[in-house]
Amino acid sequence: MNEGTRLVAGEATLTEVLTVAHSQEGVIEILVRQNTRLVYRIAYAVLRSHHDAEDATQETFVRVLRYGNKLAGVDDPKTWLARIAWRVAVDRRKRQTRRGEVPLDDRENPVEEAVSSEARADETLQRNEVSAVLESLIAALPKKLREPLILSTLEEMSPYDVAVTLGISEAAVRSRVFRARQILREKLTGLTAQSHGR
Amino acid sequence: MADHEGWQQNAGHRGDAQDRGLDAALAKYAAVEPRTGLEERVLANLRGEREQLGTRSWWAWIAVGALAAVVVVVAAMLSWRHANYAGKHDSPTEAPRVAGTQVVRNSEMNGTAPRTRTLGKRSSVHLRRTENAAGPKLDVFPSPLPMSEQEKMLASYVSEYPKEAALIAQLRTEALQREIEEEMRADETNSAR
Repeated sequence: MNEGTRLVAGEATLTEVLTVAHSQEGVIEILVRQNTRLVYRIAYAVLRSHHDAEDATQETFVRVLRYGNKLAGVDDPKTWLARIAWRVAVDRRKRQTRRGEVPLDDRENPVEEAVSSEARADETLQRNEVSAVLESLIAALPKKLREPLILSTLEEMSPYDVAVTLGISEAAVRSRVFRARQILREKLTGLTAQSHGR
Repeated sequence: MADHEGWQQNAGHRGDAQDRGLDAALAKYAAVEPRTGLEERVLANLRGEREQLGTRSWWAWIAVGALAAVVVVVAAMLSWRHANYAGKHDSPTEAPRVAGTQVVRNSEMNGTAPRTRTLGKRSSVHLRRTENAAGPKLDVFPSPLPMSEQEKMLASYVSEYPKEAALIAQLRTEALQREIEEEMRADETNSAR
């Protein structure tokens, strides 16, 4: 319906989107087309499962739909959506933890699939090992440091967006990300030194 | 000195390398793409959801209307019952009382001013409950007992034959007076002796 309309996510207010879209249905369609990838990536960053991330993405947009006429009052659709997606994903994660569900470590990651066939097998193996180790290291970080770190790894998210999403100051985001990176670097160095020592 | 600078440079290079490695690893951690067609699936789901919301809103309005009707009926019934109850039990002679206040009169004996005790919430509730249980307050104290069989028969006789009853009552009163006078005379003669 509005495929010809191009608005850069985060730059247009929903009121502006409304003037282009003419209807609530159109606004939501524009929001979906612009932000599905971001919402999905936020959900995946929390849930680490494609299936759960997709469900969380659907749930996020259903929540948006229920906002109805209040949509016009939203100033920054990108951070607003990011906040909803974050809350949906975190809630799902909590529910999973309460039920004792462990998300399947799905190896259907298109990025992993896209690893060049020219790359040597040992390099691929090493890269996969590093990412597995990193994932466990990130999971072991305190929540206070983990949350800003995983959001800041998303290319679409500036420190300001992360701050708005988490409801903390931008300075806090920067310092927590710095601290998280420091911890990860120390641990990775330690692990590398151990593997070289063997 | 040169050694130290060299070490610093090495450490710096090592640090940079570690940073780059960490950046690459973190980028890979976040570099995830949704399966193709997610947007379309989301939009299709939203269309379905919108239809459901429309149906649900109809049901919601129906439910709200039914609930409002029930509330109105219940309120009307309650007010009607309240009006009936008030009509039956309203007593014009009953003096207005301040709830929860009781005057203790035993202070009259020692000459101090009467003490007013404000009862707590619980006591006032208790008081209210006992009052409700006892029923409306009566005008006469002590409360008259229900009539016996003989009294009832007498009352019916009086209502049926009022003249005869009045005559009997007059004769009975005169006889009583005579008896009293005779007794008094007998007392006087006894005291004179």
